[in-house]
Amino acid sequence: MLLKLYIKDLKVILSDKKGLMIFVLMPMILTTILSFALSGSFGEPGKMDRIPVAIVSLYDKASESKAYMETAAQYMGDNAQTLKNSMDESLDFEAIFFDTFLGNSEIQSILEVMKMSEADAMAALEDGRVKVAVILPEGFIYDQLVNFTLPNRNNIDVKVIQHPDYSYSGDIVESIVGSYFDTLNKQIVSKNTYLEAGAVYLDRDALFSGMSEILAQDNNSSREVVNILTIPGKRLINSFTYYSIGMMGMFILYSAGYMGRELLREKRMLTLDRGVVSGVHYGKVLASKFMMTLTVCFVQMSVLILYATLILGVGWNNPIKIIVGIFFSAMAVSGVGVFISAITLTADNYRVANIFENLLIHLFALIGGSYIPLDVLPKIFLSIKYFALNGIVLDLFINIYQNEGWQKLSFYFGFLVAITVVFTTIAAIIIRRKEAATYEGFIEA
Amino acid sequence: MMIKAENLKKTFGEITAVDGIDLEIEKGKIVGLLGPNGAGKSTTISMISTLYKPTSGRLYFDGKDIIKEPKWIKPHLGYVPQEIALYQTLSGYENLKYFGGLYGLTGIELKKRIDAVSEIIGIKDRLKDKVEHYSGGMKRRINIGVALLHSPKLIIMDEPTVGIDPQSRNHILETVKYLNEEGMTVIYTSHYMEEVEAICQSVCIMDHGKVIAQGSQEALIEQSDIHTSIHMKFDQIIDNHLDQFKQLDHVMAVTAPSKEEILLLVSGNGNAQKDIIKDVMDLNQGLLSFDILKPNLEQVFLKLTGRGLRD
Repeated sequence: MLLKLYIKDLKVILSDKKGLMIFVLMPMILTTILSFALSGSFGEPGKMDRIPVAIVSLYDKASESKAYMETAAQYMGDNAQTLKNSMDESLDFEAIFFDTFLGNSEIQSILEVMKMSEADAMAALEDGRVKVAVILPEGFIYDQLVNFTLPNRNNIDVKVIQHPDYSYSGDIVESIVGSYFDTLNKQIVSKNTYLEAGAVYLDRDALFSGMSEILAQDNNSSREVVNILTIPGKRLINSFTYYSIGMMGMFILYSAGYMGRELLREKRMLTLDRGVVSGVHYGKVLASKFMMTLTVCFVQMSVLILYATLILGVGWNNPIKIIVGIFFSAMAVSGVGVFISAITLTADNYRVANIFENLLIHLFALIGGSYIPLDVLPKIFLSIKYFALNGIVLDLFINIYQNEGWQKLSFYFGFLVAITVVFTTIAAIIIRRKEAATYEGFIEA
Repeated sequence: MMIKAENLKKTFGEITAVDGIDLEIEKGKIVGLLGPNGAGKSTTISMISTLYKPTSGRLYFDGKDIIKEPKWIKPHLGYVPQEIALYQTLSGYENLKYFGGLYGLTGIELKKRIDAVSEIIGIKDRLKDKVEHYSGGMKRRINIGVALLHSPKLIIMDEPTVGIDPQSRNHILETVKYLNEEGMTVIYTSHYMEEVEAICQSVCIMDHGKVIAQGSQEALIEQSDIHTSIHMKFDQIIDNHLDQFKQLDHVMAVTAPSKEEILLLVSGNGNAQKDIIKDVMDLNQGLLSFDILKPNLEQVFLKLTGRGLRD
């Protein structure tokens, strides 16, 4: 009997083109749009919590300043010291970076800067005390002085290391550090223009000795590089990865809403009555709906993961964990689905399903992080994200993506099983009470 | 008795939908259940179908208490709801297969029954089409077909001809008669009195949750005390001779709708009517034509409920 109900439910949903569009096509489209549109940083300064950033200085200011003077003397002779003396403050790149740039009030409203050693920074990243670490490389002072005052340009290889859970914080920090070098580049271009013009119109002695040789070099061949890296052993989560999971977590909730509608639709069409007259119990109807949601959700998630892999290039690497993750997620969605079905059937109107689809799913999408990564939202969102099923699914699949061990994943599996059990049990109680109200409590005449 | 209800009552909160009815439905009969909207017909049907549990009273199917044990009636009951209770996006065949399966039919047996039922309802060549592409009449026929798959002893049809063309309606009525000839008991509700008159051997009239009349059509008419009328047309002015007509045997009252017409309200049976016509011809007043207007179920219903069936 249950199998017959299940096959019928599957046939009905497969014949519902509109429903299939919502389940499969919509998340694909939204994932693609959001991934491209939000592939960079986003968010408004001042409206988010400050991002804790560790700044690691690998340079030695004193020795690099000295080295610069030696290099500069080769080009300028005595003029090097004169230039250094006259521009002492304006050529103090450590002060420029830390005080002028990072000390700027706007930057401070976004970043919470902490100077650390490299080891401390990595430890802080691991335990989440900082979301991003910026490594200022050896030669950071020397190379900036060279680039700023001499005709040639050296690479400055700044590393931005982000925690994989906070990819957008990493993007924001990358943009900010990049803007520092953008500003610097403009000044370097001005300097180069001056030197080039000076080489034409001024006496050679008035410029710096050896300048002609330097001017002949391709001074645009090198540039400052900001590399986005992640904690060793962790994989970087880009917008395609994030939104393919986020949208999947959100759109599986529609399966639950659909289920609620479907049962009431059957009641209104009287096909449910027909089944009941033939001897079908509500419990079996509900069990069939559970199995149907499980199937739909399983297929939906599989298709979305395939789409993310084949079209968006998201590199999933552990199919067994993915399948298990999909199964537990689909179970939880099915539990919520039968719960909504039971309430909708008892209330005899679509209000519950409507509220769920039109309001709650979007609220869950927000607090669960499907729309926006929670690290750019106020901290309160992080503490309530597990109230949303999609929040749990999102974290689970990010961990699967990071190839975390079964032990860590079992926390999420347990959570999903608990949701399944709780909601299915409540649904069963509601339906039992409905059956009792319909066909029990008979009063003898 | 196939169905017997004793003091059957159903209340929904403050509302009493069915108010202690006694009802008997004979095996092998087509029973018309009539009543204005809100009379309690659908609730009564739902209780017999085991969809609603009565608030009080007793309900028996073939002598077995189906309130305590609804399972006694379920395998023997075919239920045709008023709505098209089918999966619109599935084909007619898929619907028949699914509902047949719910009654435990499988394999070759199920296929044979689908073939037989589709033959009865006359829709064999369109079975593979989706129900949503059927005409209203075809949907109604499949709606009935679903209830016939398991060869029930009793079939309940709740307004099975609503909103369809005369041809399909006729087909459905013929189907009902055929099923009855095959031994099936039918409970039939309709807003079309002529349907009930045409096919039902017994009628139960409900109003305000109560059964107000029950029996064969003839018995109901007899009990209703509504008399036959004879409408006559003459080739000359006749309204000044009304007294002559009043004095005829079996004539209870005379009215003149126009100067050349009279309407006689008569008592007695067919012989009395024959005598009256003979007497009128003997009066030699130039009788052109006459119509005998026998009382019908519609008049009985109107008299009993004060409303028309479709009000």
